[in-house]
Amino acid sequence: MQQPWYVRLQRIDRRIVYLFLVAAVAFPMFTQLRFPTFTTPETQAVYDAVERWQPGDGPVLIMADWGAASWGENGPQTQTVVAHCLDRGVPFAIMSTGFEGPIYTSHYADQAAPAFGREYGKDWVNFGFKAGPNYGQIIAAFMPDVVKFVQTDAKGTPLTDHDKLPIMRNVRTLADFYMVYAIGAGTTINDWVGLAKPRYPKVLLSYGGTAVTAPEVYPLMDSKQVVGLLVGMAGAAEYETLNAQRLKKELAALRAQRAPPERLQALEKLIRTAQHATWGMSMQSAAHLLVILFVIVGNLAYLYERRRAALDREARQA
Amino acid sequence: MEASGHATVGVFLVALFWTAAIIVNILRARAGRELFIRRIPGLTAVDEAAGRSTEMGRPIVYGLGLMGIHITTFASLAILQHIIRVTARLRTRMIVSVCEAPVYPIVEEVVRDTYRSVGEPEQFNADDVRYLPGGQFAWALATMGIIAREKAATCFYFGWYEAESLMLAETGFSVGAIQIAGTDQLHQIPFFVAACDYCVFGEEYFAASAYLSREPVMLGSLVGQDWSKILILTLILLGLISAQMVESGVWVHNPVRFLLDSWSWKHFWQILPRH
Amino acid sequence: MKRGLIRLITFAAGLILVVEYFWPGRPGDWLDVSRRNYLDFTAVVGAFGLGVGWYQLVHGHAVKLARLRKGWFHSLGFLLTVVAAIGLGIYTRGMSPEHKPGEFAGPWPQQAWSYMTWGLMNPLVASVFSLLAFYVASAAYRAFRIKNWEAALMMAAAIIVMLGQVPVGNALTYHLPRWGQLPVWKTWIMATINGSAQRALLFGMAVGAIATSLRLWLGLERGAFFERRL
Repeated sequence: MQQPWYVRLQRIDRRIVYLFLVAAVAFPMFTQLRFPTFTTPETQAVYDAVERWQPGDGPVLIMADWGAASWGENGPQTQTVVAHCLDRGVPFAIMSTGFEGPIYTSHYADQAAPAFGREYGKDWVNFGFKAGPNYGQIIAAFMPDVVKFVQTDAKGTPLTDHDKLPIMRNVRTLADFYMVYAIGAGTTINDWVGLAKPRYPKVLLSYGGTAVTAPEVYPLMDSKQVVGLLVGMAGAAEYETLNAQRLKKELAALRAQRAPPERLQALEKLIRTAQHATWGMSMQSAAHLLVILFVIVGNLAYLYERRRAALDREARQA
Repeated sequence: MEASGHATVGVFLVALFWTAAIIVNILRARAGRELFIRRIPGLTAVDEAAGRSTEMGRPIVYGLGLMGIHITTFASLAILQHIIRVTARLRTRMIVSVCEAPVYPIVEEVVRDTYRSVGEPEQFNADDVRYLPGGQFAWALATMGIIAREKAATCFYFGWYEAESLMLAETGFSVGAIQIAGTDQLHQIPFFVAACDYCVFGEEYFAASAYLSREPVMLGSLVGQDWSKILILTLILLGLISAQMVESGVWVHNPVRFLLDSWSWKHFWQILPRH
Repeated sequence: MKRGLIRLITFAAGLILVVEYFWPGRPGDWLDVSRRNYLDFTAVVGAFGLGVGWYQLVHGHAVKLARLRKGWFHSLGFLLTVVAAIGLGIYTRGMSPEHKPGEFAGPWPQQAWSYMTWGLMNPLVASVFSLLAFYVASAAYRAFRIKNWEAALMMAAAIIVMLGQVPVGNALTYHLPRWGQLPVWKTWIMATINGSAQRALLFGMAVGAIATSLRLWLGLERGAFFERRL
């Protein structure tokens, strides 16, 4: 006997759900649908922290603990902050506990550097990755003596060679860094808060995580241990919007100053291409709307079934 | 000069009380005092879930999670031992999947010793304690494959889980398994709650070994934990009140803040007169 | 006697870290140095565990292959992949100081490594992670039912957060005053309600973790493994 429609509506084959999801995510790709983003306070806080950097504050440490799995969220988070740092002239060091993060981050830096006239060794350095059984152990070993722990950059240049790596001139311990920007699919920020904050309270901590791990970091922001947070791809899209607004103004200013065409072209290309998260958010919007629709449909059918059962019970009793 | 990074005086006093609370209650439990623990549905269902496997003649799959030698893994091992004790009597097959190499020899020993302790050493099968390396998703996919191929009747997920939690749970659901999950990873709780039949999270996860074994030492430490929580809640409340009083100018100093922040005994005696 | 010795060693090992944390010392003093040496030592011991695990794995699959048991071709595939991955990784170490994502140039071992990593492993890992989107959709549709008022409250919060997180939510309500905008509601729910709940759970878990650690350190842990004859 065929089940009633309200029961079938609660038990739609999950393959049909998947098909709808594919269609919903693909739709914005073809329609180029875009919606304006709203900059949340937590993203603005990270942006403001980079904006507040002054020469002499020390470099930013970008802990790129992510890989291909979470590239969709962590990739744009890394790319947009790297672009911001290069634009503002904030020096940064790249490090990770996995091999992929530094490769991707370094690639983003190489892509964006020509637009701002930055060079490796002076404006950024890649420490590569450091393997270890425990994330906390790696941080604990890194913090008190950066040069001894890292020894050489990813290209094999000793960190003590200040001719090739002038960025390392005044860097000895974590205290010489301005901020740690931890990006990853797991809550690596907890280790930084627990190990780094008590010993180096002046070093700012910020986090770029997947949307799943972000809720756990809100209490840390509330207690001012973490200065700001990028929540998944949405956070990256918000940061990209802030970046794009600033870069467009800079492009106009550079055109007025008749800057070299290579630099103008590089900046135009960066503005055009560094919009992965913004592009992805329209697809995420469609996916969210679809899931909400399915949940509503399922619940309407469920509530109807309950009402029907209650009425049948009353009829039988009568 | 950078901060020493040591415990503050306040942290030391809290830790002292904590330790004392746990040890006192362990001694009380050993002395025969009856200690009450509320019912935890996820753990109460463990025996029922294990029994279901026996009825259906299908194996149990136990996932230990991603972490290596860690407190989360040890808590999971305690639960594993209990489940083995239950299933060994019922002669149900159990497959344990391990992600990290350093923990694999420990898990193998735990499983072997537990079977031996219940008098069923011949039930131990080394091939059913599987080390599945390759990282998070390789382990998850391998475990999903085991669940699907073996058509597990019961799946237990106790340990450190990340993104693969929902994948495992959905696979278990697709084969009709009853699933009980427990983790200390807050961000995976929603996925386990949505997809599993029972979920044990947060403090319940660490209380599981005491709850299942009902061993006096474990129960005593559980009650000691609760005393510690009461202390923390009291401190939070006092801190809240005194912070509000300082904000409104009723008091000129915040004693709770002072106690928790004073970072060394020397500093404590130096700043005490000013307060 | 043996069990007592193990408990003594466990206690002594834990004591180093506990004393270092509570003793009012200075960075660089003998306690700090002991802690760092101790942590290095645990890393080395962990590496030995890696060897044991890999031995079991390779041995198990090699026996299956040698005896041509059911599924032997899976074991063959596994062993070949292990040899290729480890061999190429070691052989190409230091060949090029930088890799660029998706770069397939260079000598043949480096090309092979690049194909294996950027061409095979990375897309596979990314695809598996992407599966989560589908699983979340099907789990949400199946599990979220308004069975009581608490579930209804949770559902309302979930819808606000889901819409507030994406630009569509902003587009729907940006013309409203600030207090009516979905992203503002979402930020409030995440920072205030979620933050409080997370904090409460974190306290409980930290208490539980400390109690479990204390039991292990003081040798009070119970269970077949901890009570077995040695």
